[in-house]
Amino acid sequence: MTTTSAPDKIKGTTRRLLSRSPTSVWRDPVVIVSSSFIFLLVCVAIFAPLIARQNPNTANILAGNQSPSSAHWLGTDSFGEDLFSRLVYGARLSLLGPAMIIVIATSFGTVLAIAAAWFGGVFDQVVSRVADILFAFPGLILAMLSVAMFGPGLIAPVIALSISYTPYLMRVIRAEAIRQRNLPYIAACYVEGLPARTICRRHLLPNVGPLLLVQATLSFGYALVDLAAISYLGLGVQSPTPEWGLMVSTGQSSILAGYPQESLFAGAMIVLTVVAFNLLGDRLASRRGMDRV
Amino acid sequence: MNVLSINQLSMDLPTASGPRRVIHEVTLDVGEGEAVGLVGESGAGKSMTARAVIRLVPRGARTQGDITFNGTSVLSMGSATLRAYRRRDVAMIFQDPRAAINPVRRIGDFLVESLIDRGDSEASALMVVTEILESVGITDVTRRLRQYPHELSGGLLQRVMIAAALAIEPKLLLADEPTTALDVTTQSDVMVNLDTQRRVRGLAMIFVTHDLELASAVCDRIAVMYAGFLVEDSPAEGLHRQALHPYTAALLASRPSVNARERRLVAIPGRPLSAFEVEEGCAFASRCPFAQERCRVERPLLRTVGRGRVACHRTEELQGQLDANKMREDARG
Repeated sequence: MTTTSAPDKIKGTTRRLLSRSPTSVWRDPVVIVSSSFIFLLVCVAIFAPLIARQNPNTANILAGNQSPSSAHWLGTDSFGEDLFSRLVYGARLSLLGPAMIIVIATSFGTVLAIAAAWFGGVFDQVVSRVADILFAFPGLILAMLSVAMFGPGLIAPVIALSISYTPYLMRVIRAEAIRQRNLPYIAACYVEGLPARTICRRHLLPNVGPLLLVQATLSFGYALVDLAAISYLGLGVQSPTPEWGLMVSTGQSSILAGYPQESLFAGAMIVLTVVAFNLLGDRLASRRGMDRV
Repeated sequence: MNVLSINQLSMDLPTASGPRRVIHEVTLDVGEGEAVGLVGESGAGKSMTARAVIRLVPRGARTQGDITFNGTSVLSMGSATLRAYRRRDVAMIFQDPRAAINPVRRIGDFLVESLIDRGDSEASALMVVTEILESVGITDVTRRLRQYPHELSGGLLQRVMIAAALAIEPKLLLADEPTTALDVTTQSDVMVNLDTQRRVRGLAMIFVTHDLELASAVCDRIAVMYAGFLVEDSPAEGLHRQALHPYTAALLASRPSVNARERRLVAIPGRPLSAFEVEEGCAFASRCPFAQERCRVERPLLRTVGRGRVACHRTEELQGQLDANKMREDARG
């Protein structure tokens, strides 16, 4: 018999409803796993000197391209540098770069978005059109331009990517801010005679906060990939500084020689980190009851 | 002494096809401690009129005429004066408390915010707020202050909003359908509470509602709006027996009576006009059973008749016929 009785159906529905009920986000295994992974990475980045077993920049040409062993947990690269230590130290710049981009882009994006939603009219039009123009400009091209102007390193691509991420975040937050702005509670603030500054800071901002968190989390993954790509192209931080994107690039020549470990492990770290951020962002987004933008 | 005088107020809202008139030359006074019910169908312009009093109008709205509060012109206030006026002199109670209270802040934060903004210390603001919450019938105040809006029921939340309005000790209260979003049993509780508090504090009030009966129960005067026009302004008492405007009488007649079993409700034929659709003549002429040629051509002006004011050419002739009970019987035939 495949038919289900009515009470069973009801029970099933209730269970589904319950599982979707707004309990703590921390009960979602995906959230637990992805955020623990991110937390772990951050710890590794901060305490790199305690975790790394060797100096990441101690080269030993004679011990190049070694396979994983007890001395070198993940083997060595073509210069004989310890890959585990390089990955651990690499977490620092690989996470710091996107973090800077997200902080800068969300700050500017949020301020512009709330101002645009608040003032509307000409200001909104100008901000939105400038955002449209920036949208048409690929982030990577902007980064190359920036590197050409300021020279390679971390700062130039970070500035460029911050500029290209700002309109993206701005637009999403602006839409939400406009929606919130037209809700009666904002009108109620007017009636209380609160100054616009206070209304924006204490009422509008907290209400776009969840969206901000989701967007920042999702963008972090994208920013990490973009920065890694820039490093891979040789426009970011320069060798021998440990950084994952750069490691994928420098390990490339050894792949043909049969030693894929450097590119492989660095690439895996990038993939794992991005997946963790995307999954976390995804779950936070679905909790907010919205689709990924 | 009038707290508020609305004088020949007109408002146009911008639309894609040019400005549309939503309020037609409304003139209305509210005395000190007086409650005025602003009644009408949806789109009659009653909410807009109330909102114009605190300049809470949609972007791009154009207003003409004048609104004075204690002798100061509201429409010409600068932004600092306007904020001070909103902060001190008027308070508004919104229709849906769920939407009108910031969902991410605690009840306590919501209530003390305007007091602290006014310059009170946190401790004294908390004391004021606690006292007022108790006076509007909220128990367990300390716990409530720490809760979020979603943890409170609609009726409780509306009391919180009333408390917030009372907390600033305004002189004028604007209540925009304060009970419409509540269920019927809590409606009466909240309304009784609001009415009591208003009387105790001697506040003037503009009470916007669809509900003529409710308005006449809690208000001193009833102002009836139709299609952006103020058609009648009469004392609440005795409105049943002697409405001045056929529209008011028809509205009263279409309410089911508690005493008699109704077989069929009396309805006003036609549909309510929007303010911008009104051409010449009386706005209600197309639906008025007493309309004559003159009503369709010449717009009636608001004039004083007996105890109230009315915008109708034929009020005097119709006296005796504008009795709600009688109209109901006539319609039942």
